[in-house]
Amino acid sequence: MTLPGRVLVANRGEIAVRILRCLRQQGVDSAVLYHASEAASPLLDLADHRIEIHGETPTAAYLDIAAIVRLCQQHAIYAVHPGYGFLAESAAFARALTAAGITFIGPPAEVIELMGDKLGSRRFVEQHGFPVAPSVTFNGDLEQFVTEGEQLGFPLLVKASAGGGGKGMHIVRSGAELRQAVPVAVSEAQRYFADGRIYAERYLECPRHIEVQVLADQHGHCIHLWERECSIQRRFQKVIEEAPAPGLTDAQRAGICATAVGIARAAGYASAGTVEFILDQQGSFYFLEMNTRIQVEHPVTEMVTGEDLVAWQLHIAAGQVLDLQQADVRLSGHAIECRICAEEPAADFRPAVGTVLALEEPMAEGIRVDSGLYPGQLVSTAFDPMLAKVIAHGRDRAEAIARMHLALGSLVLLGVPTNVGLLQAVLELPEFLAGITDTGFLPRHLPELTREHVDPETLHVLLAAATLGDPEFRRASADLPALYRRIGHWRN
Amino acid sequence: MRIVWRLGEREYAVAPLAWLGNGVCLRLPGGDRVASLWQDPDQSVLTLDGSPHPLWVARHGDDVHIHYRGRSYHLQRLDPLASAAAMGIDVEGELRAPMPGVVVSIDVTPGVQVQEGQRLLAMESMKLLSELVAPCSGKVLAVTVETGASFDKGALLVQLEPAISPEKH
Amino acid sequence: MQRIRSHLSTGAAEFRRHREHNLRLAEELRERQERARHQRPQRDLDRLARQGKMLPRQRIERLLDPGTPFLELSSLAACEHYDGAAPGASCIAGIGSVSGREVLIRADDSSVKGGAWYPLTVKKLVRTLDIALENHLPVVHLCDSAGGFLPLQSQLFGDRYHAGRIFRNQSLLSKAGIKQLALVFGQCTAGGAYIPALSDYSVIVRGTGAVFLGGPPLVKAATGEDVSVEELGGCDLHTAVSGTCDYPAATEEEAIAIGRDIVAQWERAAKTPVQWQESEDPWYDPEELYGIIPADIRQQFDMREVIARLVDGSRFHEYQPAYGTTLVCGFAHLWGYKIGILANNGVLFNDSALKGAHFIELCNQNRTPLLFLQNITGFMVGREYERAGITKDGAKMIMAQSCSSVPKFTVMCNGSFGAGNYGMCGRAFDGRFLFSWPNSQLSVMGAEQAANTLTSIKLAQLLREGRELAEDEAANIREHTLQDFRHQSSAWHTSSELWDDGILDPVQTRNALGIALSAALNAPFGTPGYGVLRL
Repeated sequence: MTLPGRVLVANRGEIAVRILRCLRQQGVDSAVLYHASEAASPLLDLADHRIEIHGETPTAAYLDIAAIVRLCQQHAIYAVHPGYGFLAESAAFARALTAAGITFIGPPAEVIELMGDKLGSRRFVEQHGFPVAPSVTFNGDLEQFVTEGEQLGFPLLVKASAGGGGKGMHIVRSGAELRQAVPVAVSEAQRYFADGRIYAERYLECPRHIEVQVLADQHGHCIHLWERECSIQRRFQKVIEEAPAPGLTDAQRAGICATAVGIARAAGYASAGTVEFILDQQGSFYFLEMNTRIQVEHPVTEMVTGEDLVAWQLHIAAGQVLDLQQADVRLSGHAIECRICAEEPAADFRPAVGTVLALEEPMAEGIRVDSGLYPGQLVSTAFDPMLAKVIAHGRDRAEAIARMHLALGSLVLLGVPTNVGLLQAVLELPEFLAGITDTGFLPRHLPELTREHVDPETLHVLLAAATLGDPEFRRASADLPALYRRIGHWRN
Repeated sequence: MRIVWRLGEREYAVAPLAWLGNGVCLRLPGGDRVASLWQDPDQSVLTLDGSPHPLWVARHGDDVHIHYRGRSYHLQRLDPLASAAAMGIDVEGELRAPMPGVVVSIDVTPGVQVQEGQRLLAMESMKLLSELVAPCSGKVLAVTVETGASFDKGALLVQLEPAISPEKH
Repeated sequence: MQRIRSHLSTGAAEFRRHREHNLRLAEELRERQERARHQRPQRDLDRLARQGKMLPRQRIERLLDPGTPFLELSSLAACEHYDGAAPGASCIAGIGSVSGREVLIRADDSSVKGGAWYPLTVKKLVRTLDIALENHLPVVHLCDSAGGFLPLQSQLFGDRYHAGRIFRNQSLLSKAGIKQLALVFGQCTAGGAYIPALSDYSVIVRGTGAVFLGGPPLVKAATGEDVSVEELGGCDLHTAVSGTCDYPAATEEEAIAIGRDIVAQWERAAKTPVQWQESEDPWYDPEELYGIIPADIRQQFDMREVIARLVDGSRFHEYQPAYGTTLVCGFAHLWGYKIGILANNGVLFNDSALKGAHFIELCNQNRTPLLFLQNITGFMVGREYERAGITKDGAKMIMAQSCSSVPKFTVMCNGSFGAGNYGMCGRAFDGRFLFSWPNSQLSVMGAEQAANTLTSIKLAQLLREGRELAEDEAANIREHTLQDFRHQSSAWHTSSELWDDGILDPVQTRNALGIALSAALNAPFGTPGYGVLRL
């Protein structure tokens, strides 16, 4: 049994498509928000109803809690799935919906609030006896902060307390650097999160980013769906994720998963969530943060467990019992996800714009594509640069990588610069194939990954195709005097 | 005709040498090849010296996007007249009067940043009101006229400090 | 149309000997052209590089549509003059395709004495513009010249066909609606200033291009005014103030791009309709031409073997095959165009002259362009032939040929001696184009005869002065005279004098004639009509 009324997807792009498909599968009446800039998207047809939103910018429209709640009431919305990003981790939104008698598909607002505050969540986790990286908090006294930072030992990572998504983070390697970073970090935190609180934690060189998918119902039942490895990152944002994490011992895996369930249970979590850890080179792991939403990389877990996380979210939101026992969650094979982003890796991953001129998404065994792309789509910087995700599943890691490599090669996406070439290059690196990854992987290999090399034969193919299809070239060729064309290049 | 393409950081010139029964002989960097292109809305096939190469080609103005052997490439056609179109006789950063007239209004003050094409002032001449726009992006150094002032053809009206654009070294 | 059946034996020793001889000549042609085109003092090349200028031939290559031919005219003009100081007459001319339009390109060669105009430069310029007028070919001028070569000004300024004729021709071109574009890369001084001024369109390069009647030194001398090149006649002055030039360009590349865009705006002239069919390569290999033309100019050969290596499918419809057999007449197609061919197969007799005159009239009636393949030692002399009216019959051929209204083309295939040159459309007869093969010779009589005649005159003169010469001295004089005469009648010399439109390697003849034919069809044919034929 699932939700008894109309469900609104308060999101766009690939995650909206993902959720709408699930709703359709479950036979739930669906609605989706859209902004005028995407009114032409054929993806809106996946919803039974579409609701236009307005805002000074398209993003602002998706963040307008009051307007969205009002629209929900107008359109008889029973429940709202926020996806990720936008209002997914807004306790205010969850509360506003609840107040309006609308179900928020996600954990209780208090948990969102608790986990949304990085400092608070660290304290909470620490109090419950789980490991966190050593840190110091900035209380407005710069000198004290620097002294404490020096005692903790460099390098340090300066973070916004209310932060997330990799924004406003600074690595500092000395007291002087820390001193310089503080005002910048405070102002960034203020700007991005409207909360100027910052803290500094021990920065682990080359750690791995491991996270655990948890599922909990409103009746106190909580399980994990194993871990994901998300160490391939750029600017603290994940690019390639996989499950299970390569090279983890059974004891490490069991320990980290049990810790995640412990934290979720302690927090009174309900819905799908993710507990993130960093794993240092000595094999110790520390709590990083908990994401109280469905995550971008959730498909890799779905591929190796066979569970539909969004369907479970709906099920749990409907107050149903999570009738899945820990022992029943089995891992099958290996899955990898690549995020396809409109960006220019060689230009510091600058977001790119363009029009989708040609599009063909890969279809093959073990391949899943979660995409919000459509031909003719205007990709602008108004939204997040992530356009689609390709997920590959195989019997083992090597097969998953091989399938991913083929799939990326057969993804035709022309008109918008993307990171596909970079992803392909990563998949070819021996270190990656060996499973030796850490969060420093991408920056370390960036020069060789973005080195443009076109072999002479390919160059000829490209230049010949570009030239022969050029309309002006064709017209000019047809316009030549016939005799001159017949004689061709000739000099006397 | 000869076409110059930019691919990545480099530029390549391509010119036809002869039109043959089985295609066009093209002068490509490092060699001459006989090529023909069979185009379809979706997939195209380029034949190079008799060997077929399936690919996807998408054009958008001067941009050509090609998907070939699992990789995407972006080529840009360089227009030999592009710089000619942008060319004027003005010294960079000077806005001079195109004809004698009277200043109707001034939109900028010294020190402000302006974008190329942004309106700097309005003038009237021969009962016609016209807008004068910034010849380049940059900072306004001086406005050398006042509202209501009359000026001759060629008079300096606004002096800009051109922004250094990355394309012009 | 029947394919010519060749009787050539390519395995024969004679073929190989002829081939060796003519390949050597072709090689010499290439070497001479290479020198005339590219051999320049390093100083001049350095100067152009310093000014950021392209070489004139680079400009032409960039202007032309890639993948199309360029028929260069008179590439060896003036090469035997001025001690070789003005190779190619320090200018370049030719026909090519620009933006799909057939145009005449004329370029000053600034890599030679700053592109100064020698007397033969002026002759080549006037001839080039004559070609434009006769064939209604638009002209693109690539201007970069220091002006007239002062030490020789008397030979290039005052006369009817001297420099003034250039501007007269430019004016008439404009009047006839034949477009001209000037790309000003360098200075256009004095008379040269009128080239852009008389062109319909002009583009000038900022920094290097300049147009003025008198340069800064002359202005200083004349009026005491101190003025820079830019101020006096630079790009911005002429495109923004004086209106003498139309388009400013930042670089030479850009000037050429603008020029190509201007030409692309021109309407394409409708071609005069002639019979045309899909063209076909000659059945016989044109390379075999080298083995046909004899090493000794006096040796007879069958001109049908030449025709078979020029025309489409080697097919030839021969007219009057049994009558007047020393002149081969007939129809063929060249690059698809129908042409009437007159080719010498020996001395012109009464019947051959009459046949020629008749065939020319047929072609005029039929609107068929004429191709003359010259290998002529003259009209037959002697009492019997004068009695039969050889002069009268020759006059008929000259009259018919002179009054022809269809385009005429001439190739000097071998010898061209005496009045035969007239009947076979020599330079004086306003053929649209005249090309020479490197082996060809041109003079009022054969070199041997001339040497003998001149030697006997000399000996008689010495004898009158009471001097008698030893036999070896006489032989010496004869040998010298022969050498001089040979040189003056050689293609190298005649082409240097601009008595033709250039020397062709025989294997290039088919393409050259194709382009010449195509060019000629831009102008309408006149109506046929003749003077009084002496019957």
